[in-house]
Parts: sequence; C-alpha cells; structure tokens
Amino acid sequence: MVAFQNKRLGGSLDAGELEDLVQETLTQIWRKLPDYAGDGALESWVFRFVYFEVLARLRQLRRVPQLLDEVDDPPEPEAAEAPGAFEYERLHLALERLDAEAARIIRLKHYDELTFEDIGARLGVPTNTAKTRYYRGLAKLRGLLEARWPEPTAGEEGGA
Amino acid sequence: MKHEARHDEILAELLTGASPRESFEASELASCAACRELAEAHLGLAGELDAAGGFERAQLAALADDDAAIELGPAEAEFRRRVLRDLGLERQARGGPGALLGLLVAAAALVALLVVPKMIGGEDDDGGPRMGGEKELLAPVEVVPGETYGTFRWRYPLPERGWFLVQVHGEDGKITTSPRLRAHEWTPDPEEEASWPDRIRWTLEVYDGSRGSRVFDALSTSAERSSD
Repeated sequence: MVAFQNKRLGGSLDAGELEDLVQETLTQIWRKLPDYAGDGALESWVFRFVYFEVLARLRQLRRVPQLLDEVDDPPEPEAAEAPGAFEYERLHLALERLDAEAARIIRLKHYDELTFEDIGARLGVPTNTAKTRYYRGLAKLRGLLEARWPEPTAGEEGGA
Repeated sequence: MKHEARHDEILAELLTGASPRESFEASELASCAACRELAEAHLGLAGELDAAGGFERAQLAALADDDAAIELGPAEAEFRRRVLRDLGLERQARGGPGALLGLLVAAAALVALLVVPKMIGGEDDDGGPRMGGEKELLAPVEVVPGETYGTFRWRYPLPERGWFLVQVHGEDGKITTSPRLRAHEWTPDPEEEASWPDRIRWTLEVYDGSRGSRVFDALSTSAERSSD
C-alpha cells in the first residue's frame, strides 16, 4: 500500500511523513476500537474512521502539492479528484451531528444496504420501530443539510 | 389535493416500504403538493446516501484490490513487518486481523491519495473562507420556463488561481459535474441536460488553488423546469 501510494502520488509525501501518518492513525484506531458498536461492517467503520482522521491530519499540514500549483492549466476533474468524495464527506459531517441512533440506522440502511427487517434484528427492535426511527432521522438529517447549505427558494411553492 | 394530517403517516409508510417512488406515485398522495415535496426531498436525500454508500463500498473494494495486487518493496515490507510486530500481529495470516491491518494501512494510503492533491492547503483559523463579497446563485433558481434549465449563472468572487465546479443532483442520486470553470457561468451539454429530471438541486463548489483546498461555504439551490 505504501508503495502504491508513493507511486500514485509521485513522491508528494516522503516516506517518513507517510510512516508517521499511518502509525499515528493505527494507534488511534486501536484506542477507538471499543467505540465500534458492532452492528455495521467493521471494515466500513474502520474505513470511515481512518478516512476522516487522516483527512483532518492532512489539512493541518498546510502544504500545497505540485498538482495544484498547475491550476493555470487544470486537468478535467475526473482525472484528479475522486467523484463523490465531497458528497461523502458532506453527508458524513451531517450524520456526525445527528443523534447516534438515527445515524446508525441510516448508515445501516444506505451504507451497509440492510433491509429494515435486518436493521431491526441487529438493533433488537421491531421492524416498524426501525422504519420510524429511520424516517424521522432522515428528516432531521435533511434539516441539518439545509441549514448548512440553505435553499432559500425550496419549500415555498409546495405548502398546503 | 389538500394536505391532511393522515397523509403524514401514509407517506412514512410508503417511503419506508418496498419501491418507495413507485408506491408513492401509485398512491392518492401523488396529487398532494405538500406530500410530493416531502417525498421528493426524502427520496433525493436517500439517493444521495445510496451514492455515498456506493462511494464507500467502491473505495473499500479498490483498497482490497490494490492491497492484494501490490508488491511491496523491501522498505515498505519492513515497515509493515514492524507495525505488525508492534501490534502483536506478526504471525497473523492474511484474512484474519492481519488483513484488517492491511485495510487500515490501505485506507490511510487511500485517504492521502484522495485528498492530498486538493485539500492539504488547510483552512483559515476560523475554519471558513476569507473571501468577502457577494455570493449568490443567479440561475436557474425556482421555476424556469421552457424545456431547458438554460445557462447556470452565479456571483462569487473567484479565489486567486481558483476555479468553480457546478454539481447537478438528480432525484435518483445521479450527480453531473461541470468541468473546472473560471467564468461565472456554465451551459451544460444539451444531451446531458435532457437526461435530468424536471427538478434538480445544484451546488456551486469553489476551489482556492493558492491554498490547494476547496472553499467550504458551497452554495446550493433547487430549480424546476416547466414548459407550461
């Protein structure tokens, strides 16, 4: 993986920096492992944790890589950026602000692709309870997202 | 149809059932404007969450593929061996916790890969952009007469060496992204636009090339085209 990364980044991160980054994240993962609720895929939990922990760390580095120094002739976005990455982060930030139970159900539904029956079974609640919590949670999530990215005209024409 | 209190319960049932869109369209609520708006908002966000879930699963799959395919050089192999030893997992075979460790390393690598090119410029002390000036999405907004959404226009100070990206979100979660733009307008490809629904949500992303990061107060609005 380290070799893969170095290859893809063309040496943007030196080996020591990368090693520090990986080791620090691994240590934090180990510490946080007890927080894992156990109802979703462990790989997904780890991925989310690492993804956003390292993201936060990288933003602290305040280094401008060569790639963005060349914006006078920028490449098309699909080559340099991960499609969907920003939406993924935007939803993650909103889910983090939602109450934990609702966020868990929404992730189980959309990220782990479970049915409401499976979600109910995993959480030890009836299917209809899982549905109700999901529905209310999604409405709250929508409110959080709209507060972050206001839609001044939405909702005006649809009222009863 | 006028909205009634009993609609709320029916709507919740429809939207958490099988084939929610089809169920909604086939129901009496389809002619209730308030219910339709709620349903569109719910289904739109559900589509976005599905897309985010797809993104996550795709990244995990890519990590697994890369981890399996990569041949470690001597330095990287030594680093991996050292980490395994430090964590007491030296003797674990792939497929057990060793595989999880591989995933952690791979995930960290992937994150760096995804975000280093565009995000490590950091943020301002207050976490927001230092950009001043008026910021507004001008068109399309609200109801647009005609069969196309027309040219997308906005007012936003272009950061030094920066660019804009327009993202158009369809109700099925499909996202169309513009090329990088320096102008304050963008006309989408007519063929692409023809595939969009009659109601979209679009977002203006702003990038600050001098800092190597995205400006985070992205603007978003909804628009509806109507040939009536």
